[in-house]
Amino acid sequence: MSVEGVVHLSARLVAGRLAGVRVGSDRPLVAQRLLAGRTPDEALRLIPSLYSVCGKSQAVVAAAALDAALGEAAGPAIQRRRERELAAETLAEHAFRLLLDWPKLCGAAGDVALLTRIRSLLSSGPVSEASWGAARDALVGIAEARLLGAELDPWLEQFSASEWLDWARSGRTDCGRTIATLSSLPEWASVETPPLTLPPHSVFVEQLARPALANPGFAARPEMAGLPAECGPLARCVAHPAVRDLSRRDRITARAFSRIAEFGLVLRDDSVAGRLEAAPLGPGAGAAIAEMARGLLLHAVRLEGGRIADYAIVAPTEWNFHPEGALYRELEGRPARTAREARRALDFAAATLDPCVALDARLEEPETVHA
Amino acid sequence: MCLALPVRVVELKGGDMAVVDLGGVRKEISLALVDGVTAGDYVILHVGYALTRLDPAEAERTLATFAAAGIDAPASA
Repeated sequence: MSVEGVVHLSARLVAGRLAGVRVGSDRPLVAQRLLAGRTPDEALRLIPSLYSVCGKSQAVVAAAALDAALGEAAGPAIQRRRERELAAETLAEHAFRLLLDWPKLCGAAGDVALLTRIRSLLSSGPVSEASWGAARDALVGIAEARLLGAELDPWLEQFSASEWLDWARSGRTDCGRTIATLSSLPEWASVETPPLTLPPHSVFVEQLARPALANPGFAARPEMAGLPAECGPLARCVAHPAVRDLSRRDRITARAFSRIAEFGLVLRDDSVAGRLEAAPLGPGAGAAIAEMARGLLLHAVRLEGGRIADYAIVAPTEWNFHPEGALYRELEGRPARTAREARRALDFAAATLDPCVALDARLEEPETVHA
Repeated sequence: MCLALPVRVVELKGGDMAVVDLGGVRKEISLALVDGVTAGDYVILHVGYALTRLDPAEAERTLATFAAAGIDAPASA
């Protein structure tokens, strides 16, 4: 088994529409293999070093799940610190998409210097409430001057899609230009995938945590009530009027805007991103769930004799890249006038859903139809 | 949730670029997001950028953990 997983995406362009969309992943889901037999302390030391782009979120959710399994509850100060870590990593990941990954996908250079500055502010920001406040203030200044070219609050308070689209197309900032490119495909209202955000306690315990522990296949193909669901920035922001407006018109565009909107909403402490909950699941078992950069992250653990017997991690990539989930629904049947446009649809749909591993996207030749 | 694969920097180049060894395959990467990397250090990569610098002992421990779990880690030690 390779340590590097890949999300595979393929489709054909048939009569002006994408067809035969296939979404698969060979991402290694190895929490059980890496953690079984270890003590909770050993697991907590190990987990931050195992995951590259979301190590802090993984560590925080693991600590909360193990607390719950041990029958301990973190005090409010620890809970708050953990939520600051989750929010900071969410901002850092969003900045990575907005300033580097997405510009490169759109043919621009990206802004490594600005990304480095933002990552630096966020690395030490969560340490205390005071440092977190200072980091957020500095980031609001950066967002206004460099990302938006506008004041944050009025920008966030737009009610309609057209105002945001006008902002992006004005080319006021590199970030706006990137989002304009991601929004440049012919509009298409895909079949909606039910949004999944931090669920009520009973749903978290009974429909997510217990199935994750009981069924090793759940983490690879998670479903809610037997159906795929979409988590992440669009699901979290869908109550925002402009996001809702965009999501009715084109969800690739809505996901692109959700990322920058959520960057601002987290800075204003007006987002569910960063929220963390934990629950005991009976003697020696517990779980925690959090809203992190790409969506919902769940850890569930069962201890036996002071050591980990079962450990499951259900990550956002498995929800959003489910074979019949949000990416599939975004693309199957989507109109595309040319092969180039079809190829861009594959790339933009996947990038705005944001897998945490490399993407292998292929536009295959249409099958020859024999009489 | 991609696993953090430590890769060894074998050569520094100009302009924040470096060469890493991925299981015998050399690949050019960017060091623009991390400071103080020297040849022989290990880094964690994401889409061609080094995200984190690791000291060699820490990197060896992570590689050993992956290997013990039967997960191939193609970076040379």
